[in-house]
Amino acid sequence: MQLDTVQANSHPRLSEFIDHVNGRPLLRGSAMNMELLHRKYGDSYLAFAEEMLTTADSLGFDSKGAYERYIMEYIRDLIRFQKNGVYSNGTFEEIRARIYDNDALMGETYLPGLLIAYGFTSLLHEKYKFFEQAFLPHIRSDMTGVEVGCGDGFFLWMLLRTLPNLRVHGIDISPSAIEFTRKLLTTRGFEEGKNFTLNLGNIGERTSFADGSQQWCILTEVIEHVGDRFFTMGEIARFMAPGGLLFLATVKDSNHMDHIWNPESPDEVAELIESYGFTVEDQLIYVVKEEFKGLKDDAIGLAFVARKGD
Amino acid sequence: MTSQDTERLTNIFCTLFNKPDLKLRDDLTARDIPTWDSLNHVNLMMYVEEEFGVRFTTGEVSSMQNVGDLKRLIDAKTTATQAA
Repeated sequence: MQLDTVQANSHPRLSEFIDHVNGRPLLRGSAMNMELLHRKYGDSYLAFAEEMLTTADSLGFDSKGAYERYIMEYIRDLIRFQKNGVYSNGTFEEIRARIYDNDALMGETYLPGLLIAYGFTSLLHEKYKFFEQAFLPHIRSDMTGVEVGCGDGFFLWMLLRTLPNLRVHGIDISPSAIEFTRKLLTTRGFEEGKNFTLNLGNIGERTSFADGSQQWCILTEVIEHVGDRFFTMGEIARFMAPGGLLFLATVKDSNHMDHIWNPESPDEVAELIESYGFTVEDQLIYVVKEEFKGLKDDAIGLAFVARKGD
Repeated sequence: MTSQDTERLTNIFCTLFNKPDLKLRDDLTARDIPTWDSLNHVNLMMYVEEEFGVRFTTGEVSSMQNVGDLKRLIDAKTTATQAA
């Protein structure tokens, strides 16, 4: 990927990032992803990518190093999945001990790499674009809601970026994720207690939210990680208000170090959501191979906007 | 790198990239081989690790840009292993 002189001057961090990516075989896929996203979304993509990198600077992490480690892990897991046909990352409790409670792995690779990847991999970026187009317009500043498994904090940031008067809440099972999200939102100018609240929480157990109390809920890249997806969906259905809006994103045939469930099809995910009293109003089925001919990656990004019935 | 090691490395490239007549030049890059993508780059490094009994760090895998870089890396790793 190349930027012209004007673009390079107005996007200095992106220009430097592109120089780094170009010529490196490990990041060849990322260069293709960036070209594609630029073709589709034009200058707004460049501004977004620049903002991701300057945010990483503000957070004090090395975006290039974190992203490379994240991509390396992703490809190693992909190769393992292609060889075996299954994820085989262990049980939820094993994964929790190995990853979610591992500050070094979470803080140096997983969380910063995932955050940056929303800017530079189409599989994740397209889910964000779908969120922006199909979910965000339905959210008003006076609504109460929660992101379950807020991870790197990207979606809470995107919510507050659009609706600065909204008060958001995030829970995550990982102390590192809570700390990372806190730092991200604070760095972006939001105040804990006023704009956001965060706490440790496990969606594999009953949460403290009252029945029917949440008017929106975000569950991105979580349902494939939990030990019991049926319990998780039941818990979300319990605390969501009638008419409340759920944004659920997941993936098919894409291994990652902590994935447990690989859905058979997009329909299986939609049926899971609807079996807990939701109606799917909109969905994204993003087949990576359709964008990149000849790519040996079967990943299908999935995202759903679903409304809770009465 | 010895001619024997160069041959071992050439065999990996020929097999992985399905190019039986490939000549391994030091300045050969991913731009010269369309199938040398991110996935095959990691595959390449894993095959080299297995063939030469070495381990690469993420930084080494990422910073490698051409065949010359890879040969120097293998030499440094195998020399270090022999010295130990």
